[in-house]
Amino acid sequence: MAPCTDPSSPTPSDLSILEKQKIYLNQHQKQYLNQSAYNSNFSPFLAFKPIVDEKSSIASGQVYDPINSLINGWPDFSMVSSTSLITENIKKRKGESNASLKAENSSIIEEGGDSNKKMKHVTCNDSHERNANTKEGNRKGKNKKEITTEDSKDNTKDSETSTDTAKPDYIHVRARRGQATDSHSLAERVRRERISERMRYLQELVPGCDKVTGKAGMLDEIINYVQSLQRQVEFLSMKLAAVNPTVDFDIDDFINRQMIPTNAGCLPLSNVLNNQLDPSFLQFNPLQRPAACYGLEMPIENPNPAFNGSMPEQVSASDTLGDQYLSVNYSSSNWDIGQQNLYCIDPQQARTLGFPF
Amino acid sequence: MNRKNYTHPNPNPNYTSNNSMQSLHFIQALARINRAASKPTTPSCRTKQIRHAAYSSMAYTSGSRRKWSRALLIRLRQRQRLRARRLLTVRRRVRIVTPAMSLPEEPARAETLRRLVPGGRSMEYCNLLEEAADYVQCLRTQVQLMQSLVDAFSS
Repeated sequence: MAPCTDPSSPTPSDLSILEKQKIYLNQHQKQYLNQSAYNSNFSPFLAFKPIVDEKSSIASGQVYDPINSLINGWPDFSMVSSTSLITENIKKRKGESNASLKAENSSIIEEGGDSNKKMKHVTCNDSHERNANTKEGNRKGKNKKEITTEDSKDNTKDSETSTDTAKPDYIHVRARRGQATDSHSLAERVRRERISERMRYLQELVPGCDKVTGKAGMLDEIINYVQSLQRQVEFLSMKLAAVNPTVDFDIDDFINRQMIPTNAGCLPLSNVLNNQLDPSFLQFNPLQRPAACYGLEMPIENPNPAFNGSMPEQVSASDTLGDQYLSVNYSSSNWDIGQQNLYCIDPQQARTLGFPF
Repeated sequence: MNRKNYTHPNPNPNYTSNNSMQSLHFIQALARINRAASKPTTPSCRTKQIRHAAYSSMAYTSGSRRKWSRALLIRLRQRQRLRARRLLTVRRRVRIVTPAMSLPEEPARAETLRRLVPGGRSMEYCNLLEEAADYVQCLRTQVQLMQSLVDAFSS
């Protein structure tokens, strides 16, 4: 990503500093670029990591010296030519760097992978940077101080929002003080963040998962919910298989009646029942299940052998309660009673749960 | 599906999934089963067929982007083929499943979830959670649909 031939290969920390400087320069005039102004502005800032910052300061120092930039073949970054070119360049390179781990607020962040690239950058363009180092050495302290600043956020706010709207789908990695900054641990942090994001989404999806704390409990809830849904599919398919021939219902006629009036492709039947049924009540509560079995007075020790061959994955997960439940379903005569016991349909109570369906 | 009420939006939403398409596929499959059942079939056979239709319509609606749907369809097709071939040869196919690299912070219960979500054995943990979320959504839609069909038929 950072070829050695391109001396302007950016790192996020570089870029933020570049942007900060650009905005700073846009705000103030060029004559405020002397050292006294910087010292007065950035005096309360602390140095965060001197080695990397030195390099970033070198890079940024190259950028903002027009003479040096022309010498080094950096016409895009010369302040004299135009500022729009600079912004284009910065945005483009920011997009490139976003493909990998991206720092949200780069002024606080040190990225391990990019620091390695920075090292390469330094070694490849040693002469350039030595040149810049002599010319722009007095700006080092300023750039060091920028690292942990809070005020610089205000300066970079508009530029960061513009890049955020352009590239909204990168992952922010923030290394706090004392955290590891090598690429492996950063990738691991990204992965952990993604996992927690998915977990949060699953937590909203699965009813009763919000009360559970801890990942193990949440996983248990999710597993129970998936099992219950799979059992429900089996149960309902059994019910449909028994109901269909007895009713002798023409499904084509049913489709014609139900589907054709709604040209939008929306099935009114399911919509009506979505209002009545709530999946949180379709979930089989382990406490309710034995009660339903007793209410039906069904033989509990009656496992259904028909499913063992066909769907081993579902049946392998079914515990003893599942077998009880299958035994309940096996008799097709008492379905309505079982349905009333199991699915306590209460729309108002369902809405209080705030379930998405 | 009103997804705007989520405080945490789906990190990787499935745009092809659609309730009405799922119901359409399932009802068409049911109609096919009903039409084919001219000869009297046992209830268990019909149950199997309907469940097969339920899962395959679910997977078909979800599209090929999701791994669970691909795994489910492949599994169902293999089972059908095996069932057709069972009379001729009894041959056990060697299953090639590359197990996911288990990372230390992955909880032990994730193995159970892997067994539940189709194709979850070879998934990385983060993908497993994502696929599980999508699978749960589709299953729930399917359960609602079947429940509504049962209610419509029995009433």
